[in-house]
Amino acid sequence: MPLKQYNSKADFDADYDLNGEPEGHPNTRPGIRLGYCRAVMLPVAQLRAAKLVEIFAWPTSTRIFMIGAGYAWTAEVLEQQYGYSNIVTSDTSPYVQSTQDQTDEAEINAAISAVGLNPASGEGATKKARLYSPGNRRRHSRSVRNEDLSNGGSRNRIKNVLGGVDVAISEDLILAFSDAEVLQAAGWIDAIDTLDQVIHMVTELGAGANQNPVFNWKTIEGWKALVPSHTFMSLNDWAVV
Amino acid sequence: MAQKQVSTSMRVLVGASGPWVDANNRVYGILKTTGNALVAYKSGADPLVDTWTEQDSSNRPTATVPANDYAASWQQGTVIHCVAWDTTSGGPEYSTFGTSDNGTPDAWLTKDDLAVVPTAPIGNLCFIALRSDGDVIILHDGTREKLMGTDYQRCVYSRKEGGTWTATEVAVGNTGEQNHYAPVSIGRGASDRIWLAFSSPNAGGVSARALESDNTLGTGKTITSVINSTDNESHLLPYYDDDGVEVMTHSWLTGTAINTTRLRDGVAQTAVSIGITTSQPVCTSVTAGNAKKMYCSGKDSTSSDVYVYVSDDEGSWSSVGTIHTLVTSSAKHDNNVFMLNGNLVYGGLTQDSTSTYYNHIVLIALSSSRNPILFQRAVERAAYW
Repeated sequence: MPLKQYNSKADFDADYDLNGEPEGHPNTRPGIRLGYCRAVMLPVAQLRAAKLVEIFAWPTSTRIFMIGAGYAWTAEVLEQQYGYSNIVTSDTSPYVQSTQDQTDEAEINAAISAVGLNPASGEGATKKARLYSPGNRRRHSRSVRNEDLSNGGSRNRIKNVLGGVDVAISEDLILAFSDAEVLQAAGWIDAIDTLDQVIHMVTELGAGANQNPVFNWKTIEGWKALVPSHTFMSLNDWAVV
Repeated sequence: MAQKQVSTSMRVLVGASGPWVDANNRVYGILKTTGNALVAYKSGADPLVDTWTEQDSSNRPTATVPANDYAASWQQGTVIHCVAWDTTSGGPEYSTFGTSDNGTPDAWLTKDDLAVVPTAPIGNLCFIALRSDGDVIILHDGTREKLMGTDYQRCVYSRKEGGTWTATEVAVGNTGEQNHYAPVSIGRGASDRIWLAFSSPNAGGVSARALESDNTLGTGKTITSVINSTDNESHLLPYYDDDGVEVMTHSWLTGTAINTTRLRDGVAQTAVSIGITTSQPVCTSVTAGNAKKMYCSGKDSTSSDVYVYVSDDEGSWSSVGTIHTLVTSSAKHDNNVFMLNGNLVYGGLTQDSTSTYYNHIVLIALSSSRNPILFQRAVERAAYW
């Protein structure tokens, strides 16, 4: 069983607590906070996608599989801003699977109300207009599959979407697993297809950083020592080993 | 050594205490009480002999300086501009103090909270610099965030223009980057450009972004890739004009050694170790304003004495002398270069245990009739720093 599971909104809220007002807020009220919501996570996804393209420079025809993709925001950016049209994503979180077709409007409304504003009027409405795209905007822009790769059928379903996979990318996923689970998952990923590259994007163990001890924190060098055949990309300074 | 005891109970704020000087040759230090209140102390006619006294004690700023001593000040004309964390509002409080040559002499003038505040920042760091037109720039910790189990924040700046705080903060650090950034220095360079320096403890290194006079924020410039703590005690980025080329110097500690790196025209130069062995982070740099000198001081780990070093315009450092002799290792230190009674001096405020001392070294005994250009430039720099 993973060290950390994301089965519910509460699981996400425990590890995702983001500033909904990077422009600041009056000192007469608290700032708006959001969890795993598109408005605050999209800048993170944009930077990740930009670094992937900058560092690896794959042809846009590359068939990419992203695992632990959440609502696939990074994949969305890779496709819409960089032209990578052959991407399939998966995330086995029951919360992601059950909410990916929903909007996050209720969550944003609650966050705005929590600081004493009305999301329907005045300053609250202004904030909402920035945090929420009008209309029936789903959390994801593409369907996120529910494949854990633990058997041949699961792996083949991923492979068959694009007729093969060239590059597999895990997105800040492996630190939620024990070393033994990472080694097992690495074998499953390797068995999807004859892959050109397997890349694990990972938040590193940070000297002096306040980090939830439940995770398996390592430097990218530490991860490389565990799985030498895979590539590890730091989400802190974008170093690659 | 003729060091003068300023107080038996006030404490020195590294990078925030000054000392500052006014047109009446009165020297000021922004200190804090043991209760963490911000206070202004003023010297008599002779700062090395006469008694120093607190000014306008009934109107002290409301800010409570955090125990980690983070506060900052900046003199411009007859006003000392201060910033310290206000534990009531949760954000930095800006306050101003008029020196004896001000229309409201020796008094706290204004105090106001910033228009916006961060939420639950990781630290309580804040730094201040002014443009020549009076715009106030405050660099401070931003809102704490959590992403995939790691706390991080970006540092932000707030700006006061035309007497009004802007309603927005602008984050310093790359958008979307999940790093814990913390501000480490601020300085004014050429053309009213404000340099905002910040560190990334978990990614390592110190970078700076230039805030131009039109408020355009430049891209990050690496100052050093050496990992620094947020508490590197280098609170000013001194500036000099090297024949039309902007040069900023950043001082920082690695282990026990003081190092400096210069940003020359926005490009980091090779780091230089000053060579002093310090046990306490008591490093602050200042510009002398003449002959492109920069000064830095640090406390020797063996003797506890505070030494002064000077660099030439190529970044080579040499010893000037001792400014304070100390008996305990708990020193905090701040320093400045300014004109005092016709002399260019290096003045320092140092805390030894709980007492605070002032001393200065005469760098150049100037005569305006003999060297009017040098005199004028030094006065300009004294006003800057």
